[in-house]
Amino acid sequence: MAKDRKDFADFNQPDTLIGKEVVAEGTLNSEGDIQINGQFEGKVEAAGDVIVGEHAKVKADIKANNVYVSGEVEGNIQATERLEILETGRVNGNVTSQAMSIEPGGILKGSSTMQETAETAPAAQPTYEVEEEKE
Amino acid sequence: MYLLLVNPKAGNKLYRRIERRFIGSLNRHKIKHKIVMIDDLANTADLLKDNVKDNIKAVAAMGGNGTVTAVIDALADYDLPLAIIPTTKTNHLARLLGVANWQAGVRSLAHHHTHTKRLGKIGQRYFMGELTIAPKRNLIKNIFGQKSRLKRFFGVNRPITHKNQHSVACQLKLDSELEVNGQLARLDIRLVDEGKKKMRIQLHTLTETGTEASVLWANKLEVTSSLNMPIVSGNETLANTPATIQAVTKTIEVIQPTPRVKKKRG
Repeated sequence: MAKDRKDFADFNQPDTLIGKEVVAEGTLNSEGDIQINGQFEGKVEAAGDVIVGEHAKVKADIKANNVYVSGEVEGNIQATERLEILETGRVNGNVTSQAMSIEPGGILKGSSTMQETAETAPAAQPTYEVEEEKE
Repeated sequence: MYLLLVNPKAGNKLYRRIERRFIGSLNRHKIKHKIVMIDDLANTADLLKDNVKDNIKAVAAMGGNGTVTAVIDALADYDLPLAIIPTTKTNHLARLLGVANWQAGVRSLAHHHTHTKRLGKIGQRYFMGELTIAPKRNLIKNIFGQKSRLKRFFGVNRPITHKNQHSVACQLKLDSELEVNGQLARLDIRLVDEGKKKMRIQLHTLTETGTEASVLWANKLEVTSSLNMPIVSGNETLANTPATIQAVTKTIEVIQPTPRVKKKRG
């Protein structure tokens, strides 16, 4: 489910959270959502959403369902559904998503590839003709 | 039959004072039992080895945190449920299980309602429930910082501000794939019993405005810090940093009091 800004920094959610004063390096995997408010370098993979907080500095490739950026990201982002770059967000890398929005003030330096959704993709048509049986 | 491992020294030698009432209570609840005194906690494993026979259906640890930890340690190799009968007011694991006093412990034996709990390991020692790692001064302040009527009477019930918090430069390695650095004020580690196998690690770091929490998950955690910090379960120090804490796949059956069901009116 898409998240609003009010959902940011919600400590009651039992997923992965990297605080403001924390410096982390390595691979971050999660079955749920990941929120990064500090510094991170490495690789991020989440089955849920990834939220990059306003003060966050992330040097990593991110792979998740929805990605919300209001801090700095240096790396490629692959969002299965939606990528949102908020007004304080800055992305330096190539992004792939089904839907994308950049708020005024938000920066994307890199290429953007839009993936087709299952609904918009043309359904496969048979290329052969069936001859009607003559009586 | 229950094997009761009793530490007579725990709780300011409480067992000696309640012995007659305790045995009377066991008999009243028709609980078959065998009482074995623990002379030294280091001998707990040997006592268990000598006394566990086929007719023993569970082991009860009677004492404080140290007694319970020693029994968990020794019991990890057996397939027997554990009951806790607290004789101290600070028995952390008994409190976690909802056993408020020795009377409630006896009642839990009578009902024999078991739950499965995860076990963790620090070095060679097993633990259950939660662990806290913090600079010693923070731990002491947490204890003395608790609100009390006496302190309110003297007007010294002041909350702890972040200026009073002490922090230690700390490095965590999670599952050998993630390295985390920060100024640690407190670290809480919780074993999750249901479904998820990883430990929940809550890291409280010091910021300009106070402390901020980070939440991480791991099966194995290596903690190193610039100053040695105690690793505490309840009020029992199990080890000191640097240490490796692991969530093991092993579980233990724990006897808990049956939850009271409130009857609805109408």
